[in-house]
Amino acid sequence: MTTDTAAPHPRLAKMANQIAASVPDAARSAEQTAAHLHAFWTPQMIADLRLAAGTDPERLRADVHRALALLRRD
Amino acid sequence: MTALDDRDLGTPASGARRTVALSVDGIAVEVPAGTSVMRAAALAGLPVPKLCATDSLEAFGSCRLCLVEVDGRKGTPASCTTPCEDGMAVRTQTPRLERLRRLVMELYISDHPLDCLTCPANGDCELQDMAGVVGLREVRYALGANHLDAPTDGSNPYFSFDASKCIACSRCVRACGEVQGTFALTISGRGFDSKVSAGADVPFLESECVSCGACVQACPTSTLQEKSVIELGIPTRQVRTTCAYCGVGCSFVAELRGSELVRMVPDKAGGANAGHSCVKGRFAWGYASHPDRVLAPLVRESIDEEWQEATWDEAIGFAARRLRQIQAEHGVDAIGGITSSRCTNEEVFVVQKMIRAAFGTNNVDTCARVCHSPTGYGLKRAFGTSAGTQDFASVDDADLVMVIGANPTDAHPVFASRLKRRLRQGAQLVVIDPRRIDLVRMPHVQAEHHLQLRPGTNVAVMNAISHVVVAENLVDRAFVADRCDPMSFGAWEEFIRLPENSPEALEAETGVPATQIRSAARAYAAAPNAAIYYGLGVTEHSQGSTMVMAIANLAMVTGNIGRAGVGVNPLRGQNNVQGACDMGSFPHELSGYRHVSDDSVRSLFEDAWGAPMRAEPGLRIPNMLDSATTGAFRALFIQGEDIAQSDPNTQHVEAALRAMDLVIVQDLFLNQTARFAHVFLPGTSFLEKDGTFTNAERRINRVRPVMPSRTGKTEWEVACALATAMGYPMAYASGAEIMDEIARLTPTFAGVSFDLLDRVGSVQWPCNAEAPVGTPIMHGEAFTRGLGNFVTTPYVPTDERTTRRYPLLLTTGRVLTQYNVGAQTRRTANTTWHAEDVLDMHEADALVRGIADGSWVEISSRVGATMLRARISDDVPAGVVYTTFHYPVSGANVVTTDNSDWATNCPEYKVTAVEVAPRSVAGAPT
Repeated sequence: MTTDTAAPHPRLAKMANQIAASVPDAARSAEQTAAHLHAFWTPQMIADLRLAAGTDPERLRADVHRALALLRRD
Repeated sequence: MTALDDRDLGTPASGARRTVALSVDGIAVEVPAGTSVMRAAALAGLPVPKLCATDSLEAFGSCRLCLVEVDGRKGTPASCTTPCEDGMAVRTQTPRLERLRRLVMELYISDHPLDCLTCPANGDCELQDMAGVVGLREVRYALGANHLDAPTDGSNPYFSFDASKCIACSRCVRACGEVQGTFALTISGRGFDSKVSAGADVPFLESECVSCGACVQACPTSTLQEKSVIELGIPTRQVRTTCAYCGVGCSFVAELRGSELVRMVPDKAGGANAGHSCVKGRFAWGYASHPDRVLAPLVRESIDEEWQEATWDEAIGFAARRLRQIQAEHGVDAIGGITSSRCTNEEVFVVQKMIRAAFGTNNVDTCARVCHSPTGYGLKRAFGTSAGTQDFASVDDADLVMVIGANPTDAHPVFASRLKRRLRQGAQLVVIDPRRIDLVRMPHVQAEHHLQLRPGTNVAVMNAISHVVVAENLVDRAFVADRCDPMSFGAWEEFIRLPENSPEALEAETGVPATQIRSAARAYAAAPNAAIYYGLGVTEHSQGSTMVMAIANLAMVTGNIGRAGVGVNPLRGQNNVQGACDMGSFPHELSGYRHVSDDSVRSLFEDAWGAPMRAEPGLRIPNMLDSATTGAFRALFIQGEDIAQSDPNTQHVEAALRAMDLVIVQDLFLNQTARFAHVFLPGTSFLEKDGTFTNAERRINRVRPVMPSRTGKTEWEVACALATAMGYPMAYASGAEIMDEIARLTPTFAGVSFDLLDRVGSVQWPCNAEAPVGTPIMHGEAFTRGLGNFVTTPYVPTDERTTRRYPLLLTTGRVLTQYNVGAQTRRTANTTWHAEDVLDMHEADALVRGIADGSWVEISSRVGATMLRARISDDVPAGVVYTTFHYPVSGANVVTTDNSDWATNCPEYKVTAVEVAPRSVAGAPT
């Protein structure tokens, strides 16, 4: 069961961008960001981030978008 | 005075392996070479009378009471300063010795008040004991010049100094120097005028004395005496337990009269503290009986209403109904909880079990989120274990110590004393800190290198240090080849060699001259044993986790892992940070740091607990608060934490708490968070708990109940009752039974039990079949993960930048006499030293703003503003200001932001862009 659907907190996008900018291997930042989100974020947070990516794509780095695509494939 | 049952062998143990054989009064004794005759005699069961000797201090040889005879030698040498030799024949009891000792004792007593029957130390006085031992029956000297009218200094709130009772044995002076390392005391004057003086002969309170209590413990008379003993009398029983303040985790002997605590004496057998203490653990325990304690449950429908006292059943029933209702309306994951580093392992374990099994969610986090969560993340990636590598004793073998973002003399004072002792012996010191902490320069200690970096540039500095090690070929190639993952090392070596990581390239960013970084790097790499100790100045940054991994890289590349004297050592802020993390408090990990997605681990817990475990991580504290403001997260159980004061961006925290339908606080006092609570469940102080704490060196220590719970319940009983009321029956007969369950479910704790701890004192995890009495030093032969993992650590500047509007950088920390949010220490006489938080600022910054020392200022950031008094200090460089967060009235976290570590969401407390402006006293907080 998940929690109520509510507007995602705006900090999620900032946190995701920060992760992508900080993972050790810049060349594999999308993969590493996806792995990090999978290991440490709740499914709801990832869903909320996906929502934010859809409504305001400019706010997310390109590698965060790619990370979300990788997570969808998983 | 030492603990009542202390067996004092007179002089310290010798560390020699070679032994010597001798006879003492005809009894054969074999002792390590270098052992004093006094100690050998005591070990043989033939204690020699003594006054100036105690086994926590080096021999001094001044009192002349411990005289002995040695066959073949002239005279009567002092046994404390005479080392044992092979074949030596010692006599401790002869008519000549007895006569001499009585004479010495007679001289002492001739200038000592004969008020034993009314003296506070009556029955616990070495002078009194020795008078009896030597058979003193009369004092033949007429009353002449004496010190009987010497004044008493009662300025210290915790102990008095009655100079009339002083025998000038220097034990207090030596304890202040040798044990504490403060050197606040001295013997002033000569001959008859000799007297103990604090500082330049000022009252104790005005001197450099840090009130650690070492002098009181060392005093053989009632000269230095705890005021609690003067008031209450000599204690009659003892309970051995563990301090509840910082992560050093000192062992104490609680001494009581009946159920009334009289004093806390540091335990010489304590593995972490070896008989030493600080002002908090030794003296600041009065909060446990403070009238502010709430002892009955409280409830209210709305936070706008007054609290109503309730029975336990009513309060727990109310909480359970509301929690279930919220879950029914908003989903299972609409609730969660926070465990506390101030609670025992057993209490923490039960609360996280309640949340996972009874609440049915992984929304559990712990206050380590806001301090050392990057340590867990970083060290696990590098070494495979989320913990420090060494025991505290390891520093005794260090040739160079690097202290990064830590202020041990204030925040971990008992470890600091041990560190200072090693530094006095000649170990080098590197300090990396924006502030000039005390260790940089203090009596008999001076850092060879102080890298005074700009706040927020830790990773740049650490990369530059490692760059020098690699570029100048200072790598321990053998260690790296044997112990580390070659692929990760290759990638890291290529990265760290990049010119952009050189000290010269980063000098403008960090503010640290490249030559200083190169010197420090060479010194670290060249030292036979180099150890790193770090604190929240490493973790509480947007790159906190990266910095922890950068530190691990440096230790590995120089081979400084896996033996005494080296290692990577996080200094934990609160007493049970390590334990709270070990116990499965993080939302992505079950106990023992095993990820919730691991099917085999989950299945272990599901079988044991009879409840399904969720495979996905839950919310962290900041995520819970963010979700509360959006309406998705509705209820929070908070065990022993005051997030409304301790967590960053107070406005955001308060908005989140206010938005929730139910906040349950379990604590000693109605803290700042309780203003937003609907249920208050009274907690227990450490003096009432029965469990264990795990300190910064992974040492699991027993916490024994000194007195019955003042609330009538243990905290784990309350959690069990709430879980049961939620429909998940949970019950234990004792703390020991909880530890048994922890041991069954946690491989690193597999061998731990209360029985074992009661038998051996303490153990350091891992404690299991491979290490039945624990593991003082980790990663000896191989890393927990197998091969050490180098992680590339690119420097990413924080978003928190200074601007024309916010031109200064605020960094925060702690002072010696206060602890965390001050809930405990503000309710003790420690307020004598620190009655309010102040803002340290450099004279240049103050001058241009028209700010005078002691005047009121407003400090503002992008998220808020507060007021406190300014203190002009050159401990901070121009451009940096500093304060503490012990007082809610000034509320340092009103200005800190919700920026956080990229990997763990640990808040970036250490870097906030601010402006400071003078304000009139009219606007000051009250």
